[in-house]
Amino acid sequence: MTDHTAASVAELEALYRERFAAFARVAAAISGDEQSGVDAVQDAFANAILSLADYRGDAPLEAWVWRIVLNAAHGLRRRWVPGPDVPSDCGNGRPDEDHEVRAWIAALPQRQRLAVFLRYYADLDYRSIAHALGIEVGTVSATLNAAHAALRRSHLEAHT
Amino acid sequence: MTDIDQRVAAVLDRLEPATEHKPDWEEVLRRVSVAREREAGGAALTRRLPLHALGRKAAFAIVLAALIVALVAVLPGTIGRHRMTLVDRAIAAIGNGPTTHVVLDQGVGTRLVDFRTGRTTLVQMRIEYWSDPKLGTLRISTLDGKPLQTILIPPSQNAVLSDWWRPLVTGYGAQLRNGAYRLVGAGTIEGQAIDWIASKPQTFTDANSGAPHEYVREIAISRTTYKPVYWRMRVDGVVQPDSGVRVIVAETLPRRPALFAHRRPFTGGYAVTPTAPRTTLARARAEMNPDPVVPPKRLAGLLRTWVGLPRYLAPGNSYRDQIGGVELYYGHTDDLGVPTYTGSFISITEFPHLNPAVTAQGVRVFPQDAAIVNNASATMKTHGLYVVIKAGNGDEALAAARALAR
Repeated sequence: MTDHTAASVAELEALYRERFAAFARVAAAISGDEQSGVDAVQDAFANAILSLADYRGDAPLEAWVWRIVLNAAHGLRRRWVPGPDVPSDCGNGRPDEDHEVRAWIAALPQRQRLAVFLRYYADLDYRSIAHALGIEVGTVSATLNAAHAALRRSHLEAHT
Repeated sequence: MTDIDQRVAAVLDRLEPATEHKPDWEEVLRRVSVAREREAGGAALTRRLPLHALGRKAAFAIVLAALIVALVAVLPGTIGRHRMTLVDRAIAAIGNGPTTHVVLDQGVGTRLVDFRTGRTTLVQMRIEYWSDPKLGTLRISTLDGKPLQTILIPPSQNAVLSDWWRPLVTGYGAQLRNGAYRLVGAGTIEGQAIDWIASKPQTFTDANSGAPHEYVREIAISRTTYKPVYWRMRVDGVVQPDSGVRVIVAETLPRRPALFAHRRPFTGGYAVTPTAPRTTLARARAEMNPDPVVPPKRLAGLLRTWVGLPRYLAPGNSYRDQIGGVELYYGHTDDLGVPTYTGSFISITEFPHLNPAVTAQGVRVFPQDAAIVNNASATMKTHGLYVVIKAGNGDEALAAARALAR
């Protein structure tokens, strides 16, 4: 590994161990199942090690890794397609409601969906979401608001 | 949080419960090894990996053996009882010294366009490198023979060197010896008979779009001197218009510590990020002095799709204290609305002040009321701003420069 990088493999390992659950959860939400999510995280960190020279400290290490994880998860994406092919028994409870909300989330524009995942599953603050998605902090707020508004609309349409 | 938000949160929790998998760092490291082994074996990567990161050393021995078999049949010539291959001759021509001396002519088609007179003149932009793995790399840039900038890049900051031709400066001889290149064809460069050798295709994932790309470095080797005379990059099978450099000198020499003595190491550094925060023209106008120059919303047939902060950063900078200025991008964006910098595009970055993040990138001349236009880029000073233009081709770069000069 070159010595001019802004972060070390040890820092990556520390981040991996500390935030594995959050990475895996978001990746699973994007890729479609838990195993694919874990697979994406493993691939992403391997990729991060191999491309560590590209990280130059211009953003937090975690934000940089999030970007790689999101890309890896997209590569393995299988689910989150709205429509009848979504199995109704996915999730751990209330299948009909889960199915319904899943379809609403799947119908969100990608940026909104990713922002929701990063907010709910990874508990990232707005700044970290902005770094991970390469957008402004103010845009994160607007994106999440738009996602919530869309979900509210879907809920109203489905239940009125 | 409204009821629906709580409901969504609750359902999200159920839909994707916390994983029961445990972190497995050993598995991550195993995948790193597998990726490198795949590269060594020449198999297609099922997981795309970054260009520079792919392991090479293990591949070299295998490829070298294959090259020797393949090239011996093609290239006649003997030394003693052994047939000399093109690569053998190229290795002999570059020498085996610890210091690499390279002079590159970036001026293939580079021109100065004077917007006051309308005159266009060819200019010679050259960069001379003296590179020593222990002492660093001395980079001397010139315009029409006049020195513009001399800096010493410490070995730890090799990333400052252009990605395009860094391997030529820091490891060409070693790569030849390790069998990293193979013969791919013949041709002529400026009337000179050459053979093309190419590195093994390497794949990497675009950090923005996630799209895989295949990179190949191609070198034209003179059939007379067996030295490299031209260097270019091919991405996804397409020669990159801004990657070509004419190689004026390429040699290795004994160590020359005097050259590196009394040089202040370059500390400015720079980095180009894949993305930068989006901004607005109104905010850019409020924050920049002078005001940004904003061409029409449609430029050279391309629509302005992004206004952001410059992607140029000094090391250690955070987005919060990013170098001032603005980037106006015309062209295709990905599904997150982020510029892809592919196909036809124009990226105009305007800086109120020169800084190392801007000037560190090779030769950077900012002529007043004129532009230095290369195959796919341009630099200029206009309305008090220092401007770097990147584009899909030279015509697009020139169109942007003309629009800014008005």
